[in-house]
Amino acid sequence: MACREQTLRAAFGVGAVGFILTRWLLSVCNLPGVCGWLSGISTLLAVVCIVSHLTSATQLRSAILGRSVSRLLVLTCALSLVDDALGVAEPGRFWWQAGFAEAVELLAWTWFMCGGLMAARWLWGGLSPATTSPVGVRQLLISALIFLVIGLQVRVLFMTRPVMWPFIDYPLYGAAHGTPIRAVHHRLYGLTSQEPVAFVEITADDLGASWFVYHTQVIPQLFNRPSDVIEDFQQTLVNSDFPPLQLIVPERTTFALVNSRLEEFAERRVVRLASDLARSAEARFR
Amino acid sequence: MRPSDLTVSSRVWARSWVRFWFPTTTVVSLAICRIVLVPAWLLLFAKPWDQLAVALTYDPARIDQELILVILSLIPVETFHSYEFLHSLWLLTNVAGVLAVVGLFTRTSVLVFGLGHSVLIAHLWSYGELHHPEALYCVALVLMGLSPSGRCYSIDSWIGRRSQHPERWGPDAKIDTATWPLRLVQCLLGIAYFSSGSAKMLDGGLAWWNGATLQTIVLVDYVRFGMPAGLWLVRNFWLCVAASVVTVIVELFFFVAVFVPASRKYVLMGGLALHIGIYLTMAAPFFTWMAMYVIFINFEKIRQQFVVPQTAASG
Repeated sequence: MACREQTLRAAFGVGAVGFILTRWLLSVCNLPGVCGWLSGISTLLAVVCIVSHLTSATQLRSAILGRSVSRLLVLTCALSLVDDALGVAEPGRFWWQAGFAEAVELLAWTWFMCGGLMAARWLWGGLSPATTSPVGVRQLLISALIFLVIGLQVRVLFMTRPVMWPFIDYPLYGAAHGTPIRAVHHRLYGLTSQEPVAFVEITADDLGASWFVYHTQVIPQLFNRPSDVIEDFQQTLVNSDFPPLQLIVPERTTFALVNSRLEEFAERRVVRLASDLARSAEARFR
Repeated sequence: MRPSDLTVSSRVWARSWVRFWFPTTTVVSLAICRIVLVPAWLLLFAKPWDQLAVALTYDPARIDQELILVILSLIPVETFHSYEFLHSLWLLTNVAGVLAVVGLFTRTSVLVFGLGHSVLIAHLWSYGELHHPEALYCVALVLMGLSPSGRCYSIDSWIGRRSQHPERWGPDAKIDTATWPLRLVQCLLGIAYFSSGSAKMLDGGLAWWNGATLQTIVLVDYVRFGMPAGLWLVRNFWLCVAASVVTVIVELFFFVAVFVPASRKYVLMGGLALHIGIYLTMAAPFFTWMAMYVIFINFEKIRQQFVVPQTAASG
C-alpha cells in the first residue's frame, strides 16, 4: 500500500513539474515544429497529474506542496485539458476559448515563478529570521500604500500607453529578429591644415547638429552630392570652433547581417575644401 | 474548509506579511540608502535645468502624463507651464536635496526632493518621448521620504538624541517601519526586470535566443551610438546567443533576490554584469538601477562587524 502511494506521489510530481515546464515552454515557443510535440506532451502530463491525484487514497495530503496547492495544480491541468478539448472541437477561436488559453498560460507562468523561487530557497536556504510584531494601524496604512504602489506598477504593464509616470512598463527590445538586415553607419573625418596635420573626427556636436540631421542629411549629402552642399558645410565649419581643415572625408560603412554573419563594406570619399573659406577660417582660428 | 481553518490560515498569512514588511530592525540600512541615493541623484543622475527647460518649448495641450494632468487640475496651465514656476520648483527641489543629504527635516526634505524631481521629469516626458532609467529611482526617493530615514546619521538624529526620548534616535534604535520602503523598491525592481524578461519571452519567444536578435539590436544601436564593443559583440554570434540567454534568465529571476537573501550576491552580480554589458555595447545608461542595488545590502549586518555592542564594551 505504501509502495503504491509512493509511486502515485512520484507520478504526481513528474506530471506536475513536467506539465508546468511544457506549458511554460509552449507559451514562449514560436517554433512550429516543436509546438505540436510540446502540446501533446503537456496534455499527457496533465492526465498523469490528474489521474495520480484522483487515484491516491490520501489525495496526496502529504505532498510537498500541501493539499490546497496540489488541488490548484490539478485544477490548472484540468483547465488545460478543457482548453485542448475546445481547440479540437471548435478550431475557431472565440473569446471564451481564448480566455481559457490565457488563464492556463497565466497560471503556468505563476507556477513557473513559484517553482523558481522554491528552487532558489532550496539551493540557498530560507529567509533570515526576523522578529514579528502584531499588525497595528500604522502597518495597515502602510500595507494599503504597498498594495497601491505594487498595483499601479502592475497595472501599467497591461496598459497600451505609458501615461502614469513614474510607473511605466519595461518591454525593452521584446521583438525577435531573424531576417537579414542592412544598416549604414556614417562618420566624417577632416584633415587639419595647420601643424600638426592630422585626421580628426567631426561629430554632430562639433557641427551643432542633432544625431538625426547629422546621419541622415549632412554626411549622406556630403558623400553623394558634395558640390551641392560643400559651401554651406564649410560656412558651418567656419562658424564652429573646429580647427581649419584642408579636406574632409565622409565615410559610409554598410553592415549586412546575413545568416548570423556580419559583412562590412566601407566607402570613403575625399572632398577638398575651397581655399578662400579655409583661409578665412585659418585667420579666425589664429 | 472550516471557519477555524480559515482563521488560522489568515493569521499565518498576516504573520508572514508582517515578518516580510515590518520586521523590527535598526534604521541603519535605510539611512545609508538615503545618504547614498540622494547625493547620487543630486550630483550624477539629475537632469540639468537646461534639459528640463526644453519641455517649456512644447505645446502644453500635448501633455499626456496623468501626474501632470492631476497637477493641472489644481494649478492653471499658464502658471505651471512657465519658466518662473518650473525653475522655482527646480530650485526648491535642489535645496530640499541638500537638506536631505545632511538630514535636516529629513522626512519632509526627502519627500519634497523625490516629488519635485518626479514632477519635473514627468513634465519632460509628457510630450511623447519617454525614457526608463529615472522612473524607479524617483519612486524610491518618494518612498524614502515617507519613511523614517533620518532616525540616524542625520542632524535630526543629533538633535533627537538630546531630546526627551533619545532612545528613539541613533543607529541602535529599533523600529518596525524601517524595512518596508527598501523591500518595496526591491519588489518594484523585481517586477520591472520580470516585465522586461517576460516581454522578450512573450513577444519574441524562444526565437529571442537565436543570436540574430541580439546581433540586430546591438548593430542598430552601434549605427546610432558607435560603441566599439557593440560591433565586436555583433561579430561573435555564439557570444550573442549566450548573452541573450543570460539576459533573459537574469531578468526573469531577478525577483528571487527579494525573497532569498543568500542569492543576492549572485543575482546582483548578474544584474551589474548585464547593465555594464548593455552600456558598453549599446550605450544605454542604466546607472540609476545599478545604484539602486544598494537597497539590497544589509548595512546593519556590516555595522555589527565593526561596532562593539555597548553592553560588551561597558562590561
